[in-house]
Order: sequence, then C-alpha cells, then structure tokens
Amino acid sequence: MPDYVIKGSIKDTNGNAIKNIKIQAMDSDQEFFEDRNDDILGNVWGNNDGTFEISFDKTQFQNGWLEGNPDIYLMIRNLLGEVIYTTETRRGVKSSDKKNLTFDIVLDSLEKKITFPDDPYSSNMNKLQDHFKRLGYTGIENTSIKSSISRFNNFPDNTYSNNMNRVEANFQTLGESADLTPKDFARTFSLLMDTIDGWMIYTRPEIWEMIGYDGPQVPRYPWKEKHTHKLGWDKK
Amino acid sequence: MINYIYGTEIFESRTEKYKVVTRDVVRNVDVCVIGSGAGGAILATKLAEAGKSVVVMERGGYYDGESMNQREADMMPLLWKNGGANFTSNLRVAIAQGSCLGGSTVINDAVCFRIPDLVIKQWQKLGVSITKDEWDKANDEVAKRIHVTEVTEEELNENAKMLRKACEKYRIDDNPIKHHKNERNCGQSFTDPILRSCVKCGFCHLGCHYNTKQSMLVTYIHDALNNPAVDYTAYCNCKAEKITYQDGVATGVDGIFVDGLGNEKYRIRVNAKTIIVAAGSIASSNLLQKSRIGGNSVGKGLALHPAPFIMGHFKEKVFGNRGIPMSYTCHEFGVTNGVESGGFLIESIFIPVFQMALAMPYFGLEHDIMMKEFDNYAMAGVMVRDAPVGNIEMTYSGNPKVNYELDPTTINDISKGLAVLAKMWFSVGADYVLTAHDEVPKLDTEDDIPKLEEAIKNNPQALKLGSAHPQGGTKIGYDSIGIVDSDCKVFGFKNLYVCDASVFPIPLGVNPQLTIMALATMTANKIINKWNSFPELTKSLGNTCDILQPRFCKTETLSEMFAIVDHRSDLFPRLANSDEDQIVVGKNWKFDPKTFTIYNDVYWKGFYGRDSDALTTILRYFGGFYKKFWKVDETTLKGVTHPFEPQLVNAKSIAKEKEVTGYGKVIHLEYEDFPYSSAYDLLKMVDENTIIGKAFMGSFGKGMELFSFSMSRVYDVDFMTEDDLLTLFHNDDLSHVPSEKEMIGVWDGMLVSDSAVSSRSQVFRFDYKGGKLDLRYSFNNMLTGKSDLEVTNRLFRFNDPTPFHDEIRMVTPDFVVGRWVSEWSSEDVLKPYVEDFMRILSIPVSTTTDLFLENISKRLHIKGLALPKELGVSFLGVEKDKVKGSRIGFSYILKRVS
Repeated sequence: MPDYVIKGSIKDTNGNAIKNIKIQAMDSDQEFFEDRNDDILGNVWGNNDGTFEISFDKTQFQNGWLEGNPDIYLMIRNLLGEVIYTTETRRGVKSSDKKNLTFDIVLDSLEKKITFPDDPYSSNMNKLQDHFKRLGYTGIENTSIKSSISRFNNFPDNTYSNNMNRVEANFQTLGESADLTPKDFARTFSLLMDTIDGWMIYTRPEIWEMIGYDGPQVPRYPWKEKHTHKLGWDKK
Repeated sequence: MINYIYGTEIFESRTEKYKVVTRDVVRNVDVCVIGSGAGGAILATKLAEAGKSVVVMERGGYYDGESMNQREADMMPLLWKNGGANFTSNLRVAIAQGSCLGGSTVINDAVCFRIPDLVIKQWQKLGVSITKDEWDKANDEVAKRIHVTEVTEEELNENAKMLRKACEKYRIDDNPIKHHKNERNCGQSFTDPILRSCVKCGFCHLGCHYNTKQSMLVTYIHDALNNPAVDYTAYCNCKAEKITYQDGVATGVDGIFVDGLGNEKYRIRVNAKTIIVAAGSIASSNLLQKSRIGGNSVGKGLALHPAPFIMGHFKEKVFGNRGIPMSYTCHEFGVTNGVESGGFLIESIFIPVFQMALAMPYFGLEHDIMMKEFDNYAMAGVMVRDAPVGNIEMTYSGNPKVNYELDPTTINDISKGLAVLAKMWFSVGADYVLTAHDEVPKLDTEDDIPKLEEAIKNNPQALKLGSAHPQGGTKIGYDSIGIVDSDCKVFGFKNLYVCDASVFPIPLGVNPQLTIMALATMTANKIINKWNSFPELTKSLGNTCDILQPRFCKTETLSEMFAIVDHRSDLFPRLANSDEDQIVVGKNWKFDPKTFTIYNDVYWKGFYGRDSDALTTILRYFGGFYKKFWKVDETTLKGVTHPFEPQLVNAKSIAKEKEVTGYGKVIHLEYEDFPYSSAYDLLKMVDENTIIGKAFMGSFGKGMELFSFSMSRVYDVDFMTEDDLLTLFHNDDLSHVPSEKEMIGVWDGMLVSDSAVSSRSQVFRFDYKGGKLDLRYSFNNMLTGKSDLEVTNRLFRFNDPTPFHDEIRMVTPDFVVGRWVSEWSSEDVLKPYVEDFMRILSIPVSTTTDLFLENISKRLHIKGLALPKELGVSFLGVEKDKVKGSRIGFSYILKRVS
C-alpha cells in the first residue's frame, strides 16, 4: 500500500473532462528556488473521464531530517509538455488528510499561461510576500514592500514602456546602414542634435501648451481611461 | 474557424483576437504572405476568402486604435520602421515607412490617387502587361472596400485652404493652374458606431485612434480575422529571414519572432504552396538578397519621391495641425497633368510637433523662437517624381542599406517646386517663408527666391528631404531586365511572387497606396486562377525546435519535452556507438550533400539549448561535449563523456535503464569516478539518433537539476565538428580542389568549432580582374584586404601577410570547406604561436605541445592529460599528419551568396 494517494479531476469550465493532460505531483522543498528542484512525487496521464490518481511513498520526499510531511502541489502539462497550470501548495499534508490530497481542477485553456514581465525573478516578490505573511507579518500590505510588489506585478507596465530601448536599438541598426565620410560629420552631428533637442523638448506637454500646440485629443492610456471622441477645438 | 493575431508583446487588451507566442512555430499552409501593408494585406485576405489557408508574417507589432494615443514619443517607436530613424546611407533622406500590422497604411495620410493614364502607358512600354481597363476594375474594387471618397468642403482645414487660395492666385501665362481636393480612404469606425467618417484630429501619422481611416488594419485584415469561413493567421513581431527553394520552387520561409528590441525570441518555419513577398521596396529587396534570389539586379532602380517641406508664416493663426493633414494638391507640374518625365506635385501637409521640430531650420534659441509660431504656419510639400537611381544593398549583418544620390533632373524639379511654392505662400500674404535648405533657411520676400534656387543647385546636399514612397528594387520587366513578370511572379520560379511598390519599373509620380492595392488585387486573382498549376507542399521543420531535432530547442523547451516524451526502450541497445575512435567514411560517418547533413557514429554529439544568454552562448562555442558508449551486456553500456575543447574531463560512466519517479523509464547515466560521481544524467531516446537528457547534481533520484540538453548522431553542417570538416577536406570522394571559375562569386565564411559553426565571420569575393582571379576579403567588416592566390590542380591556396595561409576545397558548387593554417612542420616550429597563445592565457611558456600540456596539467592540478587536438580555444585546432608533421589553424566553411 502506498503511503499517500492523491486523487482528483480535471475539467473545463463547462464541466467536461479534459483528456491528454499530464499531472505531476510535486513536493515543494525550497521556496526561493525554482520549481525544477522540487521533488517529483509522481506523474500520470489523466483518465478519459478527467479523473486521476497518483500514489507515492514517504521515501520519495524525505531527503533528510528536515522533511516531515510533504508540501504538495500539482503541475499540469499539455501535450507539448508546457506547464499550463500549477495548483496552490498545500503545506505539511498528512497521509490521512483526504481533503488536502484531493485536487479538483478547472482549466479554462490548454495553452501556456503568459506572465508579465518576462523576467525569471518577477515572482520572487510574491514569494517573499507569502513568506512574510507566514512569519506573522500580516501588516505587509502597508509596507514599502507592497509598493515594490505592485511595481513588479501590475499588468502590463504599459504598451509604450520599452520605447526608449526601442529607439536605442533602432539607432544601432541605423549606424550599420549609414555610410558616412568625415565631411558628413557636421551633418550627422546636426541631425543628432536636432533629434535629441526635438525629442527632449517637443514631446513634453508643458512645451506644447507654450507654443500653442493642441496636443493629443485622447488620454495617454486610452484603453484604461474613459474619454470622448470629441476634439478639443470643436468643444471650444 | 477562429483566426488569431500572434505576437511576442504582452498586452492588457486588444480589439482583435490576440495571442502571445510561447514557442517555435511550424505551419503548413497554402499561402505565406510576407508583409501586411497595402500589398500583403489584400493578397492575404483575398486568397483566404478564396478558400486558401493563409499565414501573414509581419515584422512590426499589432497595435489597435485604442493603443494609438496620438503622442509621437509613444507611437513612432511602435508604428514607424526603425522608430522613424530610417535614412538613406548618407543621412540625406528620411524615409517614413510603417512597421506594424497594416504597414504604412496605418501611418499614412490616407491619400488616394489612381495610377495616372500616362504612367500606365509608360509602364506598358517597360513590360507591364496590364491594360487601363484592368487597372480601373481593380481600383474600383479596392476603392469600394476601403471607402475612397473625395474630401468634403467641410473637411478642408485652414492649411489646405491656404494652398487652394495660393493655387487660385498662381497663373502661368495668365492661365489658371490645375489643382483640386484629394480623395481619401475614410469611413465608418468599426469600434465607435457614432463615427461615420474622419474625425479630423490631424494625427494620421501616428495611427488612427478612431478607426475611421480605412487602413488595411481595419479593412482587409479585420475582415479576414473576423470571417469564420476563412483560415487566416497573422504573425506579428515576425521577421522573415530567408526564403528556401529548390529547382525553381519556393518551399517555405524561415523567420524569427523578435522582441521590442529586435532580439530573437522564437523561430518560425512556414511551408507554403505559394509565397508572396510584400514587405515594401526596401525590405522585399533585402529578403530576396538574403535568400540569394534574383541575382545582382535585385535592389537596383530605387526611387524615393523625395519631398522637401516649405512653410509660410502668417500673421493670423492657421492651426495647421487641426484637421486632415493632406487633403489638397496642386497637379499643374506633375504626371497627373501630363508631365512625362520628372515633375512634381505640391501637396498640403502638416506634421505633429516633434516632426515639425525636425523639419524646422535653425538650432537653439532661433529654433525655439520659430517653433513658438507653430500655429501660424501653413505647410506644403513638393513631391518629386525622381529618377530611379538609388539602390539597396545588403550590409554585413544582412540589413538593408539604401544608397541614394539626387539626380540632376530631380534637383532641378526640387528647385523649381520650392520656388513655385515659396511664391505661392508670398502671394497669399506670408510675411516670411521657411525653407528646407540649411544655407537659405528663410526667405523674407519673394525677391529672395532666386537665392534659394541658387543654393539648391550649388549644394543640394544641404536640403532636408523626406520620403514616404520608396519604389523599385525588384521591378517588373522583360526577363532580361526585370525581377518579376507582369503577374508579379519572380522569373525562374513557379510559385514565388513579389507584390508591392518594389515592382514599379519607374516611379509612379503620385502617392502609391491605391496603385499597390490595385496591383495586389489583380495579382491575387491571377494566383487564384492558376492555383492548380502550383507545386505540392514540401514540409520541413526549418531550424525550429522539434522533438525530431532538439538541437534547435531552448533549454526550457527541452525540459518540457523531457517531461512528456516516452523513452524508446526498444532502442536502448542502439545507444552504443561505433567501435572505432576515428571517423571511417562509409562505416561510421556519412555526408548527404542534398540535405547537408552529417551522420557521425563515432560518438553522440551534445547540444546545449539555443538560448541567447551569455552562459549558454559561451557554452555553445566553447563548451561542446560528446558522449560515447560501448555495449557491456544486454542491460548495461559503458560510456565516457568528454568535452571537445579543453581535454580535461574524461568522465567514465555506466548506462542502465531504470524507472524514475516523475520521468518513467529512462537511461540512468552513472559516473564512476570522483568528482563526476556526484553528478548523474537521465536520458530518453527519442529515436535511434536522437536523445534528450537532463543533468543532475547529487544522489540519484534526489539530485538538483542542472540543465537539459540533447544529443544526436545526425546533424546539419552548421553543427559540424572540426573532425567532420577535416574528413570532408581530406577525402577526394567528398571534396575537390575548385577551379578558379568555380569560385567566382561572393561567399559567406563561418568559423567551425567542435561545438557549433559561428555566425558569419568573413566574406570572400572572387572575381576576374584584368584576366586574373582576384580575391578580396573582409573579416567582421573591420579587416579588409586582398589575398595572393595560388591555384593548381592539387591546391587552391591563398596567402595573406600573416605566417598563416588559406587552403580550400569544394564540397558542392555552393559549399566549400577551408582551413587557415600554419605550414606543416615539426611541433617545435609551432612554438612561437603556442608561446603567444599561452602568454595571453598567462600559462608558462613551453617548447613543445607536450610540454605545453604538462604545464597546463600542473597549473590545473590534473594528471594524465591526453595529447591535445585542441589548444583550448574553441576554433583553434591542431592537425596532425604522420608524414607532414603538425600544423595549427582555424577551420571554416564558405556558403555561396552569389
């Protein structure tokens, strides 16, 4: 008899069984490391009716004296092997704890989840937050860490966030496509200065107002802010 | 069918159905269209509507009306090619092009001119077999779909009215001149039902927030995406790198997905029955050049419609930024008024403030003073029908370089046009005029106009010029002079088309979007009509990641594959390699010149992920490894893991099949000796020549995963080892000494390390000069020069100023292997090179390679190193011959460019 048996089901949002899904039971060992170093407790392909069952023994997660009961979570993979869903981690699950050994999962997509930003460290702040909470720092929401967390996790920064980097990358391409001779130095310098001058000064709203330029007629983030499609000068 | 736009950028929300690409993509479709502008969008939609499965590859991103916020700093980097920093190589002409889904139609001023009758006739003489009726019919179809109508009187802004007033006053021999309102493509917004036509915000250049400009994005592309009856996919942030072909049949397109900075994220391979290039004059020419299609004529005959702006300053406010920027045109001096050669149109235009700051003469305080009068300027441009004297060449890195110098007739037209326009502004009360010439930036009175004309003639280089209409590069023409025929099909190909402004044989003389659209409409119909004559689909994975070729995968994908793939236990005995330690051609080593693949069973060649982080890149070039296995009994094999380069690791192992929790049945590779015994590998055989593996540190089953990798006995020449190259080099059945004639052309050179072939590191150009073969080389675009050639029946050698020389042998007419080597000698003679090398590495100098090894051994505290075939640097190797002695050098391959 195995020490532990995880049971559960995987269904779509309409309650239909999902097939061709691989379920991987994991023991979360080290919170601050990546998932790939956690112990794999077992994995199975889901049954046609959407149910699954994974059995394992204590020896599969007891590496040393630190390990008591496993901190179990499930990773769900699609046919490409991509992790499309990861459950919450259930800490210190006993073999008799049927409730925590049952996972009924509802998936809204079989595609890989996209996270933002594309940064391997982006979820570290979440992990830190969880850690502090478990240590009893319940006032975490009001600390400066909260603002750091929101800075990392607000989705997305905005559509235009990388623009300066884009401009820089474009100038690198330009450098290779330009064929300059020393006599062009003055011209190149003047072009560069015009561009910097124009960019630094004439992309600023306060300057627009000074020179009488009406400026944009929609908010900076139109998809976020309610706005009309009436033009400023028509309103006047 | 649900049709999607895919891209690499992550958005909160988008109007059309949008998904983020998360891995390499391979598609097998009827049609692949490269570019989504005026040509590509129409071809893709019409062919999809005709029942063909279609993939569109668009280099730019997908940005919908809601994200177009009318701010230049936000929108130009997203919508404009190179963020607007798109110039001719001499930085004289700024070329405005769109680089986003919908192409230039998203950022243009919605000006619609039909192809002038005169141009139809001129083009017919140059080989364009399209009648006026055919043009009319296609124009009508497009005009209906993108809602082309004349600008209404109410829509004319003050800027346009100023130009009209000026045209009305202008007389030639007391006769009025020809001028009228433009037609434009504006109509009902599909996102805001209240907006039935143009809002007149004046931000056309930054994309239409309201979706009333009927660009390709909101017409053809929107229609295809939302038609469940068609099979249509648009891949954005997707750069086509190369068209592949064989025997006159284009087989597919290799491309990459890029992030916002242009760095590769994933790869794409599209296999298609028909391939259409519609990326615009510059990019289309560049793609053909990169794919070695069309020969040296590709990129020639480029015209730009250079257009200087000129502004009149008025006491009363004009508010030129309010309203449609381009709605009025003076036709008197252009092709639309029967001017057969050259000529120009004067078009009303107004540009947002940052672009205005760039167009404005002066610098510093004077510039600021002029800018403060922003509301008081009326602006128009002189768009010249120039001579097609420019060309597009490919840079060292494969990017396009646009070379363009003004032709004397074009300079005359610019001079005349600016003079006419300046006179016009004065005639309607301008108190001064600002010009586009650095030396005469301001005209105080009409009497100053000759000074401007003089300055333009004397120094045309000081003109500030813009262009929005690059044309030519892959022109339609008769076989001997054109790249494509009248159907836009590339000569010599059964199924490859180019359809955009690049095919214009001579410039159009008017804003070209409607003509490109009409041409695309006709081309789509022609493709549909001859569909049954196209060759069958040829399927290929290109260089994308796949379980059958994991050497092209990223580490993350290898890991995902390892989790899901089953180990082929029946193949376990095939893990054993050939008994020989050396290559024996025909027995444990083969080369297929058709597919350019190598079968090498001396060992399993290891591959790291293709990730571009610094560590993996270093590993890829300097940390290659192999594993070799011998059979012990039915259940056990012995093996060794060895790096190619520093011959320091010789990790003996035992391979056994085991059941491992979480991975199922795998091959467990247990290392026998310290320190390797603290690590182990798990391997899964995918087929008899492919393995995916994971390396762990720690005790078996509990180890910490280090990385994923793959191994293969079959790989492309781009992954060849130095031994593979030497095998090709020294075997008369596999390669031969090329004749001078066989080497004529341009060749890309790549260094070969045991781990991988480098990216392009040198270019060789062989040519006959004065009856003698001439060789010019360029290394990394920095070191260039000429080599002395020594060609006999037995040796093709070229010398340079160093003590090293090149020897090359030809494998196929397009593929050559080469060595840059010292002379054969005893190992003592190699001493100076070894000394230099060791000085760089701060290793004690030795007199022979053996002593050199010994010193390394001492320094690294490792005993018993084998005699090296490498000197520890990825690309530098030692070649040994029983009779001739030894020589050191670099290996490389050459691939023919032209």
